Amino acid sequence: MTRDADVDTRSAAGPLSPPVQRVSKDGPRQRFGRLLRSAPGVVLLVVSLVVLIAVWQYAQTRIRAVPPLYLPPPSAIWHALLENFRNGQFQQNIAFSLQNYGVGLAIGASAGVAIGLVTGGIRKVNIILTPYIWALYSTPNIAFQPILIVALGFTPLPKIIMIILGVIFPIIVNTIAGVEKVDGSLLRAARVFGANRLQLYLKVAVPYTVPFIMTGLRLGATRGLLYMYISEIYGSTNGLGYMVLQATHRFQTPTAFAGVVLLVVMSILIVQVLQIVPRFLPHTREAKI
Amino acid sequence: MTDAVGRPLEHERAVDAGTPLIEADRLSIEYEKTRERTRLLALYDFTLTVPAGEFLVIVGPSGCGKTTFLSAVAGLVAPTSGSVHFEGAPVRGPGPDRAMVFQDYALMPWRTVEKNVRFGLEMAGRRGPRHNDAVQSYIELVGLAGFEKSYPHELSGGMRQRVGLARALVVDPKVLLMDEPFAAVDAMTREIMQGELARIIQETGKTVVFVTHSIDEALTLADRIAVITSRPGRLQEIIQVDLPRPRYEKDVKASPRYQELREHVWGLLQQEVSQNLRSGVE
Ligand SMILES: Nc1ncnc2c1ncn2[C@@H]1O[C@H](COP(=O)(O)OP(=O)(O)OP(=O)(O)O)[C@@H](O)[C@H]1O
Ligand SMILES: [Mg+2]
Repeated sequence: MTRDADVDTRSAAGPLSPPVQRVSKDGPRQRFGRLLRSAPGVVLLVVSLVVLIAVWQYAQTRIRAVPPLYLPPPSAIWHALLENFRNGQFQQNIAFSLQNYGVGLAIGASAGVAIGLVTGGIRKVNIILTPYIWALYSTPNIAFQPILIVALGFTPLPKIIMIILGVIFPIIVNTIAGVEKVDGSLLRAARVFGANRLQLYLKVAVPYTVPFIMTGLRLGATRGLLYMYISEIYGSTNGLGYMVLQATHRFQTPTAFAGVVLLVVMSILIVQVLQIVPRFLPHTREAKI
Repeated sequence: MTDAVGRPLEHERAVDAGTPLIEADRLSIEYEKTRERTRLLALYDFTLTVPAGEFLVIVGPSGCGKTTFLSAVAGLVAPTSGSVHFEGAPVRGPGPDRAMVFQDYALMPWRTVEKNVRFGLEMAGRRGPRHNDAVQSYIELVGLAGFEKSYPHELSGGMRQRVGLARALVVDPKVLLMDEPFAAVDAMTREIMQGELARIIQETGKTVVFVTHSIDEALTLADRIAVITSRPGRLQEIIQVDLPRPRYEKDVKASPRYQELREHVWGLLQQEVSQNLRSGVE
C-alpha cells in the first residue's frame, strides 16, 4: 500500500472506487481528511460553527428572517464586541464580574470542601447538616438576593455571597459523597496496616475524595457563573450581567449579544481549566465516578 | 520475653517450628445483616493451630468463611464465641505482627509504588533512612526495582500484587495472611509469582496462612492444607503435604504422590460442593 491510502478518504469506499482519484498527492482535501482523523471533535466543531455563523449572517442580512433588533447578524455582534473593547466598557465590566467571581469561587470552594469533609467524616454532623444542605441546594438561591441587597446595599458583597451560594452546594454534596463512598477494601487494608481512625480519615478517605471534589468544583464553578450573572441583573450598577441588561433596555441588541458571547467564552475557559487540573492528580485518571 | 519453657521468643521463633503462632479455638463468627435484620453464621466451632514457620494453605468452597478466618486473625472481626490467640495472647485488633495481602490488591491509587509499600511504616510513625532502605530492599526483593515512582494503574495485575506483597513484608510481620492473592492474575504470571513467593518465604522464614481455590497452588506452596466445610465453615481435614522442596511444577506434578494428594483434596472439596448444591445453598 502506498502512503496515499492512509490519506485518501475515498479508499474507504471500497476496491471499486476508481484509482484515478488518488493521483493528487497532497491537496487541501487530503490535508483536511488527515486533520479530521487526528482531531475529529475540534474540526467538526469549527466546521459547524462556521456554517452556523454563515447561515445566521445570511438569514439576518439577506432574508431578514427575524427582525434584526431581536437577532442581530453576527457581523453586528462582532462590531459591537470590538467597539466595546475599544471604549473600555467590556474590560471594566468583565473586571468587576471576574473579581467577584474569583473571590466567590475561592471562598465557596474552600468552605465547600471543608464543610464536605467534616460533614462526610463525622456521622453526627452529617445527620444534622444533610437536610439543611439539601434544602438550600434545591432552593433557587436567587430568593435571597433582594434580602442581601437590602441588607448590604449596591456593593460587591451581596454579589459575592450569591456566587458563594452558587458554588458551594455542588462541592459540599460531592465531597460528602466521596467520603461516604470510600472504598471499603482500602479501609480494610489501612486498618490491617495499623491506621487509627484519624489516619483512616486523613490517609484514605480524604485522598479518595479528591476526584469527587474535582467534579463538585466543576459543577460549582459553572453554577457560580450563573449566580454571578444573576446577581448583576438585579440591584447592580456594574458587571457583565448589568451591561447586557442595560444594552437590551437601550435596544442595543448587538452589544447585549456580544456580552452573552463573552459569558459563553468565559464559561468554556473556566470549564476547560477545571478539566485540565485533574490530569495532574495521578489517581483521578482512574477514578470511577 | 520468654515462653513457658523459658526460651527467648524473639529470635528462635522461625527455627522453633513447634510453637503455635496462631490458635483458633472453637471459633464462631456471625455477621449481622443489618438490612435483613438476620445473622449469618460464617464460621462455626472452628479449631485450627498454625505453628510458627509453617506455610498453611486453606481451601474450601466459596463462602465457607476463609476470608472471615483471615480477618479474625488480622483483628478485623471479633469472635462471636470461641477465641483466636496469636503468640499466646488473644487477638484484640490489627497489629504490625500480622500483615495481609488482598485478592483485589487494595493499593492506594494515589500513592506511588514506594509510598504504597511504605504505608504500614508510615502508620506506625516509622520514618528515617533505615526504613527507607527497608522499603527499597523489599521493592527489589519482589522484583519491582525501577518502578518506585509508578502508580498502581500503570502496573499489571501481577506487578500490583508484588506491591501488595512488599507492603506486607516491609513491616516485618510474624505472619503473612494471604487471601487468594493470585486469583486475579493470569495463569503464567500466577506460576511465576508462586515460585517467587516460595523463594521469598524460604528467605525470610515467615509463617504464612494462604487462601486459594486452586488445588495445584495449594500443593505447590503448602506445608499443610486445611480443608474447610461449606458454610458455616468448620475444619474438615488437615493434609500434610510431604512433597520435596523446592517444588518446581514439572517435577512435582509428575510424581505419583502429588497425584494422590491432589485427588484426595479434590475428593474432599467435591463432596462439599455437591452437598452445597443439594441443600440449595448458593
Ligand atoms: N461483612 C459481612 N457482612 C455480612 N456477611 C458477610 C460479611 N463478610 C462475609 N459475609 C458472609 O459470610 C460468609 C463467609 O464469607 P467469607 O468471605 O469469609 O467466605 P470465603 O470463604 O472467603 O468465600 P470466597 O471463597 O468466595 O472468598 C459469606 O456467606 C459471606 O456472604
Ligand atoms: Mg474470600
